[in-house]
Amino acid sequence: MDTKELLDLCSADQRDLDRRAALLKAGKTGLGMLFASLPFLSAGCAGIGKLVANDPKRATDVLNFALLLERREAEFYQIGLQTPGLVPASDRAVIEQIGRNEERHVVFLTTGITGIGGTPDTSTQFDHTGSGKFPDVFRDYKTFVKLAQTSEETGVRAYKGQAPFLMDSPTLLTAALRIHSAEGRHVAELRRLRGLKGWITDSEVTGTDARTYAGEGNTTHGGVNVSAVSKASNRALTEAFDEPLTRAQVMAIVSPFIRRTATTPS
Amino acid sequence: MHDTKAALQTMLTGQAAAPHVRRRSFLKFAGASALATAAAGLLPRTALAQSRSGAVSLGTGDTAVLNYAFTLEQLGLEFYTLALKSPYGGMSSRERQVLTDLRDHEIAHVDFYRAKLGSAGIPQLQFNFAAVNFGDRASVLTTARTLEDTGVSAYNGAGQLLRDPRNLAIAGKIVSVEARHAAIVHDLLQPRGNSFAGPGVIDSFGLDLADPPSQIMSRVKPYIVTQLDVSGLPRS
Repeated sequence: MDTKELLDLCSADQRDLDRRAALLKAGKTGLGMLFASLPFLSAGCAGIGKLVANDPKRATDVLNFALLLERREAEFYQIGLQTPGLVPASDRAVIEQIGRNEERHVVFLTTGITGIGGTPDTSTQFDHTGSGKFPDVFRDYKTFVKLAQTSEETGVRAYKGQAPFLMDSPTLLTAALRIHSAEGRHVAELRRLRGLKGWITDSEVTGTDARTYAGEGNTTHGGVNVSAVSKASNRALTEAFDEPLTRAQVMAIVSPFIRRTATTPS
Repeated sequence: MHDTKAALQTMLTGQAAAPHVRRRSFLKFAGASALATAAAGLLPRTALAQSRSGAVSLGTGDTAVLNYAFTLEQLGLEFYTLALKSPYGGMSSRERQVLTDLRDHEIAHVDFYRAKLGSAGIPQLQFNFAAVNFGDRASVLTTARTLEDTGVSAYNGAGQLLRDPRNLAIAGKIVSVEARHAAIVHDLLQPRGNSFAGPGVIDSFGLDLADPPSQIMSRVKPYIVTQLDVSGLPRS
């Protein structure tokens, strides 16, 4: 793939991109391979910049962690949308849009990892029942949306926690921030579908795993105890700031949804 | 890019909303300037400075980026305060709740930045929302949508300008809340539609908006009366 093809991809229409995404998922094309050592897509085609990471191994590791979460989400929505009678017509536009965005995150991260000379890890397989804890995930829409909320919230917190590790590459950092806020949009709307506020109040327990909201009641940021300097209510103060999770914290929440296989790195 | 810098400075310091507003603003800052002069010996070098044109400087480096965010948070707070002061007819209880939450979150953000930046922080800015018809639901909600999408875009674009990981962490804590706001305002205008994360805000790679400060400032300039000197904002 040369620069012209890369630019073509930038101008690809939605259907074409969906096709590429499907091909990539099916493993029928080495799209990711083709991006190797080429300039990387930056600013979502607003411009093409060089992807420079001072520590490509660490960057690859961070991006593969993101890819794991995105692959799980993309597959989750794909199965949900393909399950007859699961997603009601009233919510279909929302779920379809989220699913589409997640598929694109998978494509983007896959090409990005390859672009910095890394190998995308696509070996992990998923158990969307959470090792049997949610057997009705694709039968009961309420369970489906609740799990969706939990994984999107976890995703937002995961990207937030990893962003500082991408600071030596402006391109990677910006891409991660742009995925991070997209996940923030997703979860707000999913919460809305459930009749919840779009923002997290204190360490609420509205998802499927309390750990997803652990620490969200924090009101000290950047060394400033905001509750001491603000006239906003404590409720508003906790809603106004989201909190990061470490990779270990994220993996503890996600691990029941990962099916261990012989090829899965431990 | 020198010409971009020059254009940006002209844009931000050249023409304010209306002559009388400019004069008032100038007088206000002339007063502030006298105070600043009196206190000059007490302030650190990075403290808020007034350029020769009388504009409020954002400072340099990470401070400038945080002051840039502070500017946008003040803008949002002013807007929601006005929207709730004279609510449009037929405002539903849910809409009132959302607008109230958004105002309260902006209060939290503004109070945070004021404390965080201390003497290096910009003062309370003056705004002009004459272009918004606060009696009209569509005018209020589309402005809210624009402000929230702009906030997301601004934080995403500014992340790479920060040098201190602790400041990046702060931006990260706030930007996802702005994204939540944006999605919910989109939902008020298009309930259960796809615009909250659709093609208008998410590109074909699934990436959210991200624009550099120059573009963001030109977008919000019509609402900001106070002259700002953004020349110290990092460019990369």
